[in-house]
Amino acid sequence: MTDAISIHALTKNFGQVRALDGLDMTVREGEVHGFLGPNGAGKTTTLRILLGLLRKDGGEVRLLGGDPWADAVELHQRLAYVPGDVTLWPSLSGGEVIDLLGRLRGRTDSKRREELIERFGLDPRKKARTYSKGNRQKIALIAALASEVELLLLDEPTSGLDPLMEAVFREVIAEERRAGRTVLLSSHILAEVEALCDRVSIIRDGRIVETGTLGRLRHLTRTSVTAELARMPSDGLPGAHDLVVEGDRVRFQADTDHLGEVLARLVEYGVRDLTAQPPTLEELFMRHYR
Amino acid sequence: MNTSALIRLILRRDRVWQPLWILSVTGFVATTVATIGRLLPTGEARLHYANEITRNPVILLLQGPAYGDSLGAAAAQQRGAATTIFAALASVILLVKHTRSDEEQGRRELVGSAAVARHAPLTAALAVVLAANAVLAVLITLACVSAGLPLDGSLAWGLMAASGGWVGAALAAVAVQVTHGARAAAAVAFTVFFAFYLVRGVSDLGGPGLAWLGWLVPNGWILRARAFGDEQWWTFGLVVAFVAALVGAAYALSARRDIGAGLVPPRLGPAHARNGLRGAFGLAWRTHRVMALAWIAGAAFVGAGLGLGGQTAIETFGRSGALDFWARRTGTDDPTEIFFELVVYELAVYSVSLYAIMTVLRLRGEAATELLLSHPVSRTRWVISHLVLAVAVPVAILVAAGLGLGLGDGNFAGGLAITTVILPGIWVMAAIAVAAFGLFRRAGAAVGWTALALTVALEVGWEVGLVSDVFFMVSPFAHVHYSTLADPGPGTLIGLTLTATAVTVVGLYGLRRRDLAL
Repeated sequence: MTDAISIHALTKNFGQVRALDGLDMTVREGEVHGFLGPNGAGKTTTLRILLGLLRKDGGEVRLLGGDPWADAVELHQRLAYVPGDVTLWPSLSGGEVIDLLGRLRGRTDSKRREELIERFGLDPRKKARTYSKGNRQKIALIAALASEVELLLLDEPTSGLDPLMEAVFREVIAEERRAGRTVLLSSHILAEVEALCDRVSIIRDGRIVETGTLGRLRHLTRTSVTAELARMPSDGLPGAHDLVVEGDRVRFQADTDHLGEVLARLVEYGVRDLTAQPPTLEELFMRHYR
Repeated sequence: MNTSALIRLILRRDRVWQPLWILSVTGFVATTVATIGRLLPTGEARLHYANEITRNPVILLLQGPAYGDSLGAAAAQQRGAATTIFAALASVILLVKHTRSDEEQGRRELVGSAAVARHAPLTAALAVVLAANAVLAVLITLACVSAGLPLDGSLAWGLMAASGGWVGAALAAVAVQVTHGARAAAAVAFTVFFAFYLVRGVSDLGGPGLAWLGWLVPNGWILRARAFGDEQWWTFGLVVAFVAALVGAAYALSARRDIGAGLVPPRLGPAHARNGLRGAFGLAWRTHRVMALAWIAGAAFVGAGLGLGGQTAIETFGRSGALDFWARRTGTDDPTEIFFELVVYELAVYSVSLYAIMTVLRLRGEAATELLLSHPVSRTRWVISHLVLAVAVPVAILVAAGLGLGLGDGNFAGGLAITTVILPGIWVMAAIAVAAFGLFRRAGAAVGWTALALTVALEVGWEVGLVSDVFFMVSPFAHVHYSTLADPGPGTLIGLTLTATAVTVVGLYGLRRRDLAL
């Protein structure tokens, strides 16, 4: 598999502020890649560099085999972008904006356009100035999704959508993945990333601190275990962290690599009840930000 | 409640613009009063000026009559009406910025959700703009008095300028309640002010028989305060009453509408884009078309007015000998011809430059840039889509004006020649705006407008003899000047066009290398 996006040691400064500090990231062709991080971590800056809107200060960036700064126009024919804060032309109607954007890219699938307008429940006749944030986002999403491009760059695309529309969004992205498209989805809505993404990269202060499949990331961290035991372990549980004993119940965290050994010890104490929870993405995420 | 906090917020946000516009207008007045003595050194010259020059129809239309033959009266006649325009323009822009623009950008909601009374933002904006004009009145008074002019007239001039600003602010306060957007509100308010200005002009042009017309509009009351000529202070009472009535109306309207909405409900648009809305150029045309068509129509109207009504009058007037001193200053033998060219030049050069620069700098105000440029549209193409209009629409404006001029004597070629000769100069200004936008990420607009202000300053400075002929050549308009300073042949015009092209290329090169201000 080739890489749709590869970034190595990317840096970007805004005056005194270092926005990206040696960022490395790879997005493989055909995957939905979650780009996680809190506000101000550098997600939007990274996306804008990928679009050639901002110029990198250092490092290597390849996008669909080209240089995002020098080959911007050619590359933009093959990708679509939904900004985090969608601003439109106030006097154009939603339908006009969608058509204009399609024509700019040189591709419009009018059947797909109508279908998406229907699914997202958009009234395309309203003037852009009267749309709410969520509706402006829908317009940018519809225009991007109707363009049938190889790569979708989405910057917090659901931040203004209601839960119903978020569900539609998830369906549509799942369809895009089946159609073999690559998606880079920047988000801080962890449930969304968990539901959609093959791999995730977590960014903090302009660097990627963790990257990989959710399974692998989970593996790196600890499983939380709650058990009801016949008798209490007198000398603690080797391999168990943050052990809490409440009557005949114990709660602890176990390194995923050593889970088997810990469970074997538990059996010795007579397990009556056991729940083991893999770490949620939220826990993974929090681990880097605490 | 909390209006004072909002006032402090406005002062903080405008800490550069507020002092800048007030000082610029004051500086404009100060230069005029400082140099008027040089232009009209003797009592005889002033008498001649008051009795002869100011009978010229175009001067009556644009500047109004002289209300005396003193130095102060001559200065106020020349620049008084212009100061009302400047103050009104600044006041309209600032009032709209702190009311409707805030609503458009969602800041008003943030403020409105805090413990702030419903009308507090309007009150705060009005308070600041009205007070700024009061400061302007004081500064103009001081500038005139320190140049040795009598206090009464100086104060009257100060109040005239402030009245222009107050009327502009009051019109804007109503307009922001009615229209859909900030841009439209500013355009409506300023157009109404300018229409009042022209009504006053027509009244002065028509002589005593049409004097009543001037009493119908605030601009008539303002000028008829008769600065430096037996002041009629009570006319300012009319201005205050007018402003109070409009402000009252603005509050009443504001209570009847929703935040972010105008009084007119928004209409639905088409569900599909027409074929014309295609590509960066189609989008740019859609963005600029209303403004472009309005300018072309306005130019045709003014051109026809001058052609049909003004030309003969100007020529008769020129032959009367009243213009001989102008002819000497500009170095020509035929005062009639030069005066007509002067009038056209002064009307066209700076207004059309304003249009061209405004059109180019729309690049900077365009909020949807990020979305647009994530499509296969290069930066160069994006800039050129707007620049094409900044180049072509002035052609249409000046051709419309030239054809209108020709209506008078059927000499369409002559009319076109007078107007279109300044085109290459306009293109240089548009190119400077492109360069400013391309080279500077934040300061682009300020640099572009400063360039226009400098050309105006050079022109005024040259007229009053402060700027030498050689130094004046820095301005692109010196090369297409009505005076004998310039004899614009094909070489000059091609040279200016090439300069414009080169400056544009610099701007495009700069833009290709810099970060976008998103």
